[in-house]
Amino acid sequence: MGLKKSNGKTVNKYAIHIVLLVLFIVGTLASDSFLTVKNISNVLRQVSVQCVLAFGMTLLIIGGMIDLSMGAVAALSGFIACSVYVLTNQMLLALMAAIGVALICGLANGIIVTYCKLPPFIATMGMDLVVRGIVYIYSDGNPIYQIGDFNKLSTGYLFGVIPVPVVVMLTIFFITLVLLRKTKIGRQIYAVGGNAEAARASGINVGKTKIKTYLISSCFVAIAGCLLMARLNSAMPDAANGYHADAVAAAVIGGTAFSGGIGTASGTLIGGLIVGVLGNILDLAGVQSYIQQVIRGSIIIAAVAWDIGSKNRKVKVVRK
Amino acid sequence: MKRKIAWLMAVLMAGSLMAAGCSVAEQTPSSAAAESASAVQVEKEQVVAAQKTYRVAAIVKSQSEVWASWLSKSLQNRANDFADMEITLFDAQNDQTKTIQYIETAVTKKYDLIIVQKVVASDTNELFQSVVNKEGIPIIAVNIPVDDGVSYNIPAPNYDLGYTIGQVAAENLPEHAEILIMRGKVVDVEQQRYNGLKAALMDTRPDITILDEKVANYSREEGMKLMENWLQVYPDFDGLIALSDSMAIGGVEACKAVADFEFDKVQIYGVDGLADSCLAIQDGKMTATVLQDADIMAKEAIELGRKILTGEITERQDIMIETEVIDKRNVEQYIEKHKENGILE
Repeated sequence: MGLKKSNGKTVNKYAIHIVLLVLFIVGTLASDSFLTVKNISNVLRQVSVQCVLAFGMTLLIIGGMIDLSMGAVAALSGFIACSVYVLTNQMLLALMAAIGVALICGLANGIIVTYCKLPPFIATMGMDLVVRGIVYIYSDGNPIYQIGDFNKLSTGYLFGVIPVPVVVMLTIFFITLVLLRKTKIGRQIYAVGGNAEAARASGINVGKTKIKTYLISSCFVAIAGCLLMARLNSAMPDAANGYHADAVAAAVIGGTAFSGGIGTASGTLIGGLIVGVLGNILDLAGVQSYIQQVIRGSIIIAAVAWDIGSKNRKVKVVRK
Repeated sequence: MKRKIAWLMAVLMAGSLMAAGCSVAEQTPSSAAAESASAVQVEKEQVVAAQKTYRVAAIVKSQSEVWASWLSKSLQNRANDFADMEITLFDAQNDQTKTIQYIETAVTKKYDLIIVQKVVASDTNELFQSVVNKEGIPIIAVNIPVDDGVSYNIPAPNYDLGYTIGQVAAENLPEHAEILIMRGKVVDVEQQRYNGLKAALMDTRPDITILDEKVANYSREEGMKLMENWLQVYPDFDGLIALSDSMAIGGVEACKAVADFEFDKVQIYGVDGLADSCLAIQDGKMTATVLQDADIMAKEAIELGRKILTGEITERQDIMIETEVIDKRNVEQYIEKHKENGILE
């Protein structure tokens, strides 16, 4: 019994790593182009925007919240960053402008959730419409076509080898990792998400924690928005449509639970990679986009079902 | 707090409903039900003759799609050329139900003319016929034509667009070229473009091999991702034909990211004639595109509308727009045009 339990635990803990490994094997068998530096570098680039968003989403879901306005805020902050860059040619200023705008949106989300007591789903759903509307008003429906060297955020390399978006993604990953494991705010997020009343009883300011979480996530969203516009090589007002869904998918596949209080940075990273690698394998194998969509949706359902199932098994074991 | 917010929202909603109801009541004559079509028409003609301004409702497919946004801007610009035309834009946000809703709104608010760009080619005949015959409001359908017998059409020459770019590609692609094709959403409208392409290229140049053909939903993002993955499998392709510029540019961006990519060894084609593809052609990154001139379409729509409203034209007709190839030779003039329209700086 004891041996079985520990084996079960190990399998569950590393389930997603195993899935990723299996995908790598499948990919290598399915196409010779898969296991090449070029292709892997591509995949990492393709998932970097989604992963950065997913880390923010992870923090929020662990804390019992969600953010459906991520795509719109990413688009707005990315767009503003490009506008500022085109005017001033200062990358740092542009990034700060992006983060500033995103922080305002995050603060709005946080306040609506905390003080107006709206469920995060509804609050951020409304904000999504509001912010997207603002992007169109500000841009007048027109993309900014010539953004100059802003696109170096996407095409540049660190040490000549590692693409900048991948560096950014890994940096945000480490920040999330350290934040969740080692900092006070991390512990507070887990506590508030796990049981808000108990957290409040133990002296945590639940409202402040929630707002802080939205603010931190907004910084990530701004960076993702800048990465996206750099990749597109133009500021598009309709960019990042529906990106919150992929962020949720990566977080959830990575083991973040909607009930709150559970989730890890590394889980989300693996989750994001699984989604990205899967898409890549299907593309290389020539599978049509609509079929890919069906497969993606099914994987999300399967992943969450497994996750819930394994948690139920854990509970059963404890009860015995 | 929650309850107070709920009450406040309920009051606001009720208030706005009442305000809307009041304005509708003001505009709708009390004896609307029994009036016959001809009586309405006579009354309208008298009112129109005495009136100084023609109110036009322009319902576009989606302000967030680059080409449709270009169309809506052009409609506004062209209407501004006439002091007696007042245009109001409605954005259907890619949702045909909103298109229908806005047509109904235009009827309620008694606009003089409706210019509509449908979202899909699904059947709207009954609605349009009712609006034209019973309400007496002429309809000009742009981009997607309708065959209800009463609406005027200024259709996008989808088959021609596909055919023209196919011709250019057929003339320029080397022997035994291997090409990739990016398609938009696979719906009726897009199928015509594809059929045109097939007739001009695949049927006339059987030596050409199609390596792969995939859907990228008219999106730059998807086009870019698709091209990145294609570059892994088909690094030595000879040509890319994308059935819209947005996807073509996505392809160009993906190629740009490849170190030492030789743009003069491949040919990249798009459709639409958007500003960024003109820049890419000027830059040597794209070979050619076919212009689907939103500005000309808007000009024709506004001028036709005016002639209908002043009674100069009474017979239903279609106006065909011509396509034009944009390549290295004439790209400069189109960049100038986009600058004039405020799309490029």
